[in-house]
Amino acid sequence: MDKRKVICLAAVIAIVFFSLLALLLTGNIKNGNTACIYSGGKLVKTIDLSTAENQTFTISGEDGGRNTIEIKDGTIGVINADCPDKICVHTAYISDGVQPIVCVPNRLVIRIEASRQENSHVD
Amino acid sequence: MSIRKLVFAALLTALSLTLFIIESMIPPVLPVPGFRIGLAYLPVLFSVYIGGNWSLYDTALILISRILLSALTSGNLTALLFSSAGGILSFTAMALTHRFIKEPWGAFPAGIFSAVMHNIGQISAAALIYTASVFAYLPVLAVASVITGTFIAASVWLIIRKPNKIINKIKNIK
Repeated sequence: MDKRKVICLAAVIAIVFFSLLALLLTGNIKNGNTACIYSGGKLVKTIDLSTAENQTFTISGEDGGRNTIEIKDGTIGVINADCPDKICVHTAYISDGVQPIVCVPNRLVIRIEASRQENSHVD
Repeated sequence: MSIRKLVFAALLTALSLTLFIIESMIPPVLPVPGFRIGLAYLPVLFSVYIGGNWSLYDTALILISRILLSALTSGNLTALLFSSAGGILSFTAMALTHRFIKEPWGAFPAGIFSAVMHNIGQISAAALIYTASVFAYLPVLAVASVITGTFIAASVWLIIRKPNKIINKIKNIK
């Protein structure tokens, strides 16, 4: 077998391996249950999902983009948005730190983080 | 560059731009921002691996024109930043792979590496503009781009692996 083929194969396997490793490692950070909502890079709202009641509310971004966020049974998700691609709406309800909900057009990020003080975060 | 070759390079650019637009109409397969199949890179990778009188200079020309034209058609300046950051890195990956592997099968590593590099470039640009938290998407996008890169490379490889009359004609355009 060509030496270059081996190198290429090894490189591709390494990419996949390290990506999966990174996914697994970030998946382990599940101890947090505080949903942090960032708009335009600034923390605007934190909600403790373990105690929060079911509710819906709307976050308005600085560019006027609006996202309606629903909290249901300890999970959080975006149910309505005025962005063109609706990727944030199609992302399922989240309850752990594996995947954040990101709405790039409205610059909105929802992440589940370990419980902490609201003002300790400087972004 | 002769008129004949210029016309063919323009044809590849038009093909790339058309695939780019068609691709944006396909609903997203994964709910991850920035995920694309990368069909627009098919003519680009083709121009790298066809060989003959085609050089990396022509590829760069096709890629730059496609990026500028796609920004014009979508009317989005942020998209221009994203696709040029991805374009520069993926072109570097393709050029480096081609430097060491000139046979048709080199399309596979070139396709995969360029797809991964494209995502790294795009995410870095997004992290600059938005928040660094978009890097959380990199592992998902890297695995996805290995799959899509293989798909694009397989398409190119199927076209060029057995030289026929048409391919030879394109190859030898002066």
